[in-house]
Amino acid sequence: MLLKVVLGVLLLLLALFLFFSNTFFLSRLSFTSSLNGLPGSLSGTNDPENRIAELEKENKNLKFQLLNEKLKKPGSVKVYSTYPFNNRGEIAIAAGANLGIKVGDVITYGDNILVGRVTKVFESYSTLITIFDPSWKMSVRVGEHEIDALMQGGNELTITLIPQEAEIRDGDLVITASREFPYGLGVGVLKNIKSAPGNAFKEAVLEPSFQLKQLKDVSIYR
Amino acid sequence: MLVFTASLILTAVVAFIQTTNWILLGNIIKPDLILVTLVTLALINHSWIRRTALITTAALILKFTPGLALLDFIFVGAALVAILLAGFLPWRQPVSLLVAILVGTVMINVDHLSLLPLIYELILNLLLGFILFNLLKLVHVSEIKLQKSRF
Repeated sequence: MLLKVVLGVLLLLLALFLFFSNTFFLSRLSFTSSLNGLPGSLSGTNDPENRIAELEKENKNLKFQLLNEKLKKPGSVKVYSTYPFNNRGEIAIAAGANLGIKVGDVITYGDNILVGRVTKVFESYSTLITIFDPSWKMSVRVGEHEIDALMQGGNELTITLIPQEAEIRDGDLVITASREFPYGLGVGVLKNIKSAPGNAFKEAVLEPSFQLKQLKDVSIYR
Repeated sequence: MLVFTASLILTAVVAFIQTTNWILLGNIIKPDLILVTLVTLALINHSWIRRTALITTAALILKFTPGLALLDFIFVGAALVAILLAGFLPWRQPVSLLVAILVGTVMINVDHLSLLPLIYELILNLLLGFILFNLLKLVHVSEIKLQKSRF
């Protein structure tokens, strides 16, 4: 029994290694590409059948290009997927080093609403941590009087360290005030302000300007 | 072979769903649909080679970043431990299954433990496990009855 488990684990590791080893992957791509080029180089390109195939390929490519342009909103990047497990506000987006994305780049929803910050960049995609991640903390300002406070991520976003004497109301806008982000990006609006007597600070719930579930396109703040 | 093929397809579909935001509750609460599915399917796929193939398929589809990452090891480890527990615990099968799901869920969250979301997730996973087990019993009653504790 134990032997079978060990064998299973070893097979699993081997499969993962083979599949994800970049060298293996690149060699496979290069091999497939050489194989694909072989028939053309043997038969010559002036053959009418080859030319028809070429034109059909070009036609299909153009159709996809048109569809992509129709779906793409200007200046926006598609959201690929969300972190597969519980309790992490991470997403992957369809822009990477190929589009000049760098670690730390700020990602927005529309032009003025903060989504998160890029944490890892790969050739054609990047992963980013969003304001919903439980580890997210940043300084913000609340309302027209620009009251300083601290925002914390999580399934329910919270605003803490609001001075007790501060005049704030439900519906006040919350904007970024951390030096890691451009000043004034929108984060959400205040609701359920709690003010316990004897406490030096007030707390409130932050209603975000977007829901992770509905996020399909984001923008890179430049 | 039919059981394995069906399990493989189901695993692939569920793993894909796990990477989407369709099952997001709130903004970060996600039930471990794939863990529950793997543990339940292990009850009708007794061979460790088949179980390993199911876990590998799920791990490949769940990849969030290229290369081997900590998440892959955590997921594979949690799935293996949960499947082992589901088969080894000396209680009635539904109880073993629920304990296995509980342990697996905690293991998957080990690198970012947060109490409240974990409790939500545990409740959801246990409910899903209960539903899946009973569905499986309906379509595969003989296999499930044949499984006995290995103690």
